[in-house]
Amino acid sequence: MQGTLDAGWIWRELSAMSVYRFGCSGCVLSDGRFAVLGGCINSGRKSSCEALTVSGDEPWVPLPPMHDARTQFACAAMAGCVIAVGGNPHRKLAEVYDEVLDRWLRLPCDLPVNSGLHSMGSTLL
Amino acid sequence: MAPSGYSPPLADADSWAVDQAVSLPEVWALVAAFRGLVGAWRLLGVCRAARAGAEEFLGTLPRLVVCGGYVEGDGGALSEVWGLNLATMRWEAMPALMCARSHPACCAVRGVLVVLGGLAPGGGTTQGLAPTSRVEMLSKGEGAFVELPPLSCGAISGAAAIAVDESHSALGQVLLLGGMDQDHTLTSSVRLVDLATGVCTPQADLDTCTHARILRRRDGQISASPVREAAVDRRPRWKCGSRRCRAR
Repeated sequence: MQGTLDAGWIWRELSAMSVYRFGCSGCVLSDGRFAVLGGCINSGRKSSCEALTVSGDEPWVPLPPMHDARTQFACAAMAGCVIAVGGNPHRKLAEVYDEVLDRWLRLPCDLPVNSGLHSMGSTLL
Repeated sequence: MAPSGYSPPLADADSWAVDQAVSLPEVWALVAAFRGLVGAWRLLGVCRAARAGAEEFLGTLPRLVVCGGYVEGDGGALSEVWGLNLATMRWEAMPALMCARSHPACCAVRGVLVVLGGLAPGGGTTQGLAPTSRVEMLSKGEGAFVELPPLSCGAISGAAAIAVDESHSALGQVLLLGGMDQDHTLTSSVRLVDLATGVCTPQADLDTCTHARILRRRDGQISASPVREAAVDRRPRWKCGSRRCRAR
């Protein structure tokens, strides 16, 4: 546990991910677990995903991999699903992870950008 | 023995009740909410009432908004903003950013879209892009973004943004975590940004740029920050500015 200023925030170190990732995305699943998706692992783009139960000391648990390997992409979790879209390399494809089905499905809504898009900001609004 | 095809009156009543229930979109809206996003989409093809109910549920969901970003080739940094309507599964164009940028921090504060920092055209060493301190916001129903005061801490790109739930500031506050500063140094800084003034108040720094981090408030509320790049135990891509990293 690290100390803090008087602003009321505390940093707590969590279990390391199973692999080193660069350019991955993260979101909070409906059961409160923190999921990380994709990113570069040892110089290669990956589709692998994993999740951590924040309140415990358990290790990261693998999630099914995305259809597409991608880095620096947009993702958001809502209504029991996670949507991932865009990213490197030149991605405009979108896919969705259903937490109940425990699988990724392709979405028929490519980003309307011809060459694909990465490093964008994203949020739910 | 009952004649073939005979149904007792009670069963008739049950069947009538079921028929009535499944004809109500309100019932299907509850089913859709229980089944989640994908389940709701699948209900769209079941029957007219199911479609109406699923659409009612899907209409309550927020849009996934993507703003700015980078297109390889001649595209460069973009000012385009798109929102994915989860009921129609279509991307809808939204007002463009005043400042094209990639790697912005982005979040929704009090229903307002806020975009902070990033890499904007205008020199620099990263594909003609330089970190920016510009902040802009788009209010619901407005036709254009509005420029807000720049970040007092200076330019920053690739930071994570979390809207802070509070009510005593004029436009709200955003917690900015990590990212890269003006000279492309990975930063461990955490700043609380007042959107009305641009004033950035330092918070407890990340202690390294490694590992996933979770913010936990003393009141028990937990917020997750996107995972930062590891720059300590592996061959670093950029210089890391955290205290722990400097000490190694």
